Amino acid sequence: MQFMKIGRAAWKEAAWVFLLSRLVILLISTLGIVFFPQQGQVASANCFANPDACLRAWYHLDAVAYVNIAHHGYTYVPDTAFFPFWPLLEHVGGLLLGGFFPDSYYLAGLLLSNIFFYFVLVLFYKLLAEDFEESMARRSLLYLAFSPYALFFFAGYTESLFLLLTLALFLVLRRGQPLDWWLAGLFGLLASATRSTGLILAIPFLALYIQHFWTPGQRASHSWWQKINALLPIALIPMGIVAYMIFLYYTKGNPLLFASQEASFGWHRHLSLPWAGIFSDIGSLFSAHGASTAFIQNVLDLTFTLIPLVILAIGWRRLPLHYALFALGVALFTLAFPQSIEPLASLPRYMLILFPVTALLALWGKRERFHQWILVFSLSLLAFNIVLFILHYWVA
Amino acid sequence: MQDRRIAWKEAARVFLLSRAILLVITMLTVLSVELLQNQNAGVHALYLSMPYSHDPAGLHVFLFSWYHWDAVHFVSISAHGYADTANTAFLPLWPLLQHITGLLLGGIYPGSYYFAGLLLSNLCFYVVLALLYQLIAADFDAYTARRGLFYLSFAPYALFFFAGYTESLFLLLCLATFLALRRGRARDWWFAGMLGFLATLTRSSGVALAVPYLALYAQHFWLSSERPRYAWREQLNALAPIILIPVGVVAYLVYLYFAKGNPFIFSAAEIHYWHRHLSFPWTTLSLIWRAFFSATSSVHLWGESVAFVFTLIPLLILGLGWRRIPLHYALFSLVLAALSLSFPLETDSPLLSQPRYLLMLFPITVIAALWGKNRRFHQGYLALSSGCFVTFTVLFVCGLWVA
Repeated sequence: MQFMKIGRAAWKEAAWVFLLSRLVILLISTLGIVFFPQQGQVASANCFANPDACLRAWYHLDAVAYVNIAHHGYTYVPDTAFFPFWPLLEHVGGLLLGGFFPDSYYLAGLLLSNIFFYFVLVLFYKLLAEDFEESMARRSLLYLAFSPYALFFFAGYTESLFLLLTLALFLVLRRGQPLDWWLAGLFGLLASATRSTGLILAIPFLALYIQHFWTPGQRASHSWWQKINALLPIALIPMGIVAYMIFLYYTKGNPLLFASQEASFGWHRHLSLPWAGIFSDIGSLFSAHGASTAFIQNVLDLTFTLIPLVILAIGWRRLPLHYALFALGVALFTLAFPQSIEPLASLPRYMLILFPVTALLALWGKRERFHQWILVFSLSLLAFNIVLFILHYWVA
Repeated sequence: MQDRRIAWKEAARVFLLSRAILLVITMLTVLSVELLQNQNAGVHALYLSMPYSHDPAGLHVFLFSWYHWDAVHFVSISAHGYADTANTAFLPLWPLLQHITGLLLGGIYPGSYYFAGLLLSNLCFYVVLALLYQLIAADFDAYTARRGLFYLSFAPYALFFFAGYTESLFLLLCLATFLALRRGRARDWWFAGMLGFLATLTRSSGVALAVPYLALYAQHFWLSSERPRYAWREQLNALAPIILIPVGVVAYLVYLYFAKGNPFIFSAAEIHYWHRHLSFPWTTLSLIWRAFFSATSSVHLWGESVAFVFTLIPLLILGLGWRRIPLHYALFSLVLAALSLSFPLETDSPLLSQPRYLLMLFPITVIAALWGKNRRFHQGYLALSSGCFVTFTVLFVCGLWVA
């Protein structure tokens, strides 16, 4: 009965936050596209003479790369750095929308990303309402939908899908029925076919497995058969990457092509110690001459990489252990691949996936003042980032 | 006494939060968005050809990022007086204060006057917040007051409470008048008259303050059950100061007569330079209708639509909610709105600046704050409003037209 109640509240609250945040994003996009000149232009786009320019307001950066993959596959080798599950879905969506390049695929990306985000909100509410309480779950939805980089839950990026798979995994693991471990394995597989970070999902899997079967009291009540059935599916999680490697081996002859592209093409991402990126970002702040775009980008990268880490460091004790371990794992994994030119490029966006950070903020948000400050500050930065993205400037 | 302390504290919180956000957004905009063509501020001429990323004096651009549009006119008046006749359309109290503060800051043109404008505007806004809290807390309750402060500070056009514009000062004088009238002691009527005088010396629409004055006077002396208690002398003492309200405009006319030889030069300036005419509200409507069909460019049409929507929203809120506020709030809003709308621009953008003028209708904020008791309304209003607030701030900092 309790579960039913949470279920209905989750759909309703998610619908509200979803609609409100989409309305805000659409409003700012409209104002942005009609009033501001795009980067490098003198006048703003004329939406009547040239409607495409306005409709493609969200067609920038990685969204373009995904649309390309969705349409012509991995013909452009550097694109192999992008994992296949998201462009595959975009491909199917694009075909259903008529298969016109690029508009069908671009639109499919936007639609899918937003649909997935709605489910993200529903699952997030359910998870937090069960692990914590409902008023805290409500705050979390607001903080997630209006976080400074939440525009990537709107754009045709992988963020919504990846977070959806992550939350689904957490929810089924929490239930822990015999079949649920297999479902979790499947979600993990899809997540690692979406992004290499998906591998980290093995950590909460293992943590919950131990909690479920090996803590005193639990241990004797389960048969060895149950324990093996629950542990086996963990092997599925890396299979997403393995499948991609097999695909690359057959089509391109090199299963590690994605890794070599990350390392060579514009990204120059190399495996490093987790603090290397942070230090090199700080270093670049001192070497830059005066105020430049690179300078402000490094400042923003650093700020929005450190804020989630600091929040975690302060509050991890208030979270279940598997939340904290997952967050730590994702943070270390993404920090371990810094770029050479803009060391923490995209890190603020990767940190969006750290839903335990949002949960912590929502716990603290019980204090009315803190709640308002967080919300207003974060919404303002979100609005600013949307304007930048729309104007074709780099945002994480 | 306790209440007043709370008001100043609440005001300080919201003030600091909103100023912090404005400063962060300004800094981010200046550093990340390429400098846009600026039609208005001569001080930027040096930087026009350079993208920000190569600008060695980024600090200078940051400091002058709020020097656009009317802020430039006010700085010019406060430094050189009404040397440019077109500027006589701007009433004198604000530039006068800016002049004095500018002198105290060194009297360097334009820097000192520009910073004086920013300082004064923000100082006045802090007082606005404290007074608004006191007024709402007295007429309604503390929760409504707290929400009201948020809604005002993050209103879509609230950036003009930061810029060197008259908005903060004018609203400060209006709220102070309301508070003085509310107290209604013998001396307070004279206070209210003085404040009204200063308000009309800031903007001609200050005459709208005569309406709440009369309404509260009538309520106090004619409708109250204690009516027979008041001597005619008391009644006269309370009514006489209303004369002071229009005297602000008259004083300006006298000044113009002596300085320029023509007291009505300011209305001539409104007509010739700014193309504003006194018209009936329906004339404004037909102008709007025409403007939608004669728009010369896409930006133009969008600008007109945004101005239209943000003129309509406050009026709608007023129409829906006027029953929930005291009568003198509603009458004041109605008259002020009618006054602003009776001076449309007779060009293809008749509603230019209207959303900014309607920012002065603080009762709109009060109505919204009353509705904000509903959690969803509160979230929705704040989210949409602050989204626009940030976008408009970025527009203004880039030197583009907002209102």
